[in-house]
Amino acid sequence: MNVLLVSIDSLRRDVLSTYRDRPAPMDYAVDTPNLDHFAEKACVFDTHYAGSLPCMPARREWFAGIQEFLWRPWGPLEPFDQELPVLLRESDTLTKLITDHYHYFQYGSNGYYEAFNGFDFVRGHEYDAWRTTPRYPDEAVMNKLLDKRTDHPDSVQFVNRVQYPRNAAELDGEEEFFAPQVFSKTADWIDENDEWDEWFLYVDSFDIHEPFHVPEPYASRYTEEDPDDPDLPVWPYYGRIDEGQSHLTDRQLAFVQSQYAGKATMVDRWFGRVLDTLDAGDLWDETMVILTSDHGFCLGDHGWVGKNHSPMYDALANTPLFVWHPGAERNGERVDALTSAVDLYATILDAMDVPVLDHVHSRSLLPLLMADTDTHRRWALYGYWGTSVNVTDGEYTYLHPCDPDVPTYCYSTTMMNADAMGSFVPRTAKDDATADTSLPYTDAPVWQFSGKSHQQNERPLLFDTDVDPGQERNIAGEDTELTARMRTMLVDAMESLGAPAQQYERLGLDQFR
Amino acid sequence: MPAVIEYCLRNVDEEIEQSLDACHVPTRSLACMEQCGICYREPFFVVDGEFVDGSSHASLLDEILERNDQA
Repeated sequence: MNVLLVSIDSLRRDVLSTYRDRPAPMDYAVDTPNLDHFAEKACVFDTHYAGSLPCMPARREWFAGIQEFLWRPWGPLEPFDQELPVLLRESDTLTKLITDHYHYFQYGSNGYYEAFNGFDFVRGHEYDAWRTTPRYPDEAVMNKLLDKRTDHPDSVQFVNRVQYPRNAAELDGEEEFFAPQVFSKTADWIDENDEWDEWFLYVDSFDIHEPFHVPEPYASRYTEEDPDDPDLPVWPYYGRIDEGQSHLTDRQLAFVQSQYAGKATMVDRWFGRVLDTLDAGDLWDETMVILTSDHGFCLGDHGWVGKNHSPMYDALANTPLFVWHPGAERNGERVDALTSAVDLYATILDAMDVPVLDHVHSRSLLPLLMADTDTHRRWALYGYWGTSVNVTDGEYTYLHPCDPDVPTYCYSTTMMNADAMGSFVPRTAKDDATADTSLPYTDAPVWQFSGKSHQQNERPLLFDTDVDPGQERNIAGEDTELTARMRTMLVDAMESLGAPAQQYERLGLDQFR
Repeated sequence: MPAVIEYCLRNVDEEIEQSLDACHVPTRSLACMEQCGICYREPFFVVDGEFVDGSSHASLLDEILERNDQA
């Protein structure tokens, strides 16, 4: 058995016609014929939720089966993690990573790529610290991508947007863009590695992630605007579209949507090369193929653009999942059972006949795929470290706020920068750190140190996603019995995972334990 | 009057947060403003989408409020 796991970063599920005729904030459909074709062949999961967010926390769930956001934010794999590629190597499976996801190689991450037998890293996406020339990229390109008051080409500051126009200065033709390179390498690798008996290939495409810089014909595919117009952004700041740094006019928002859609269509075209390679090699009978994403991306939903700051609406948390397994009874069918991102870890191990350790938070989806059951989990927890904690039972979503004045705590073997969104600058020593042995999934002591809480939502939000899939009507204040039931589910879920006691205080849940 | 002063939680200390809470201009705290390189290096705010930096938050805030009072 081989396993091909493909993540397409920031892929909203409503971009895919399998899930919705068009993305909710847009009045047109996005062309993704190859993803649609794969969805028809595979088992489509209708109620799949992200767990820990954003990028690297999601990957620790896939790599280690741990829902980390109750304990720590974006950071490295921990020494006590039972890493997926390590376990697979120990079972004589060849492991390979192909990615342009530069966060693996940046401050804040460590340990994610080292265990693979081989890895390809396509350089240059977003802030990837790669090219240092041209010192002064093309003026028109810079005007499109950055504000020189904050991201000046003369500055050597960390996280300078000028990095992208430098990295992209020599991109010449569609095939040199990031997703085309990633999926071309994927197709080539599959084609060239037919002598191996069993392999695990993890393909992590940073596209559709911003900057939404795409070549023609994609840049003009969904807009009549001039894609080179400097007033039309391709790299919006995250936040409210009606104020501040992230403000967008209606015209600008429509353009951002069009470039996101164009990038989705480009990604789809090159993902199709991978499907063609599986066809040509007659590999479907021996290869499990999983297609998913770490999270969505707000494109004006509820007045927000991007991720991180808004409440955890389903535009972000309800993610796509298609799984083809050669022996699955449910290939070509839909499954409405509630599933979680963390479950992919156990699913892959199960498919490769590798035992799953009891302490992880992951449950194999194979019984669902084999039609041995119709149910999977009662609840799914999701969120960012340091802010709201959210739960769904597959019908209702309950977004529970924190008290921003009560600190949150980080638990890690490293003195990682305790920032919910990721930290791309050098680490600082934690003077307040103490040793802690309370983690339920290891006997190893870890550092415990404080961080700031912040609010994604100020009050509880409760939505009935069956009747209100757009989550427009908050019924938390209307249905007190249902609110109490979902709050109890949240507490039960946290207790079953052994969440730190401090979480209950900052969430105001002590009285409900 | 500025519509909103935005600031990064990582960039301010408790004292400045209290000053921001107390000032008569709307403020919005964000867990990250995607200005990590500047945030790592120096104090800054974003006032109505416009980036402003300086030697201290206190002096920056005084300048913003003074400009507001004169307007």
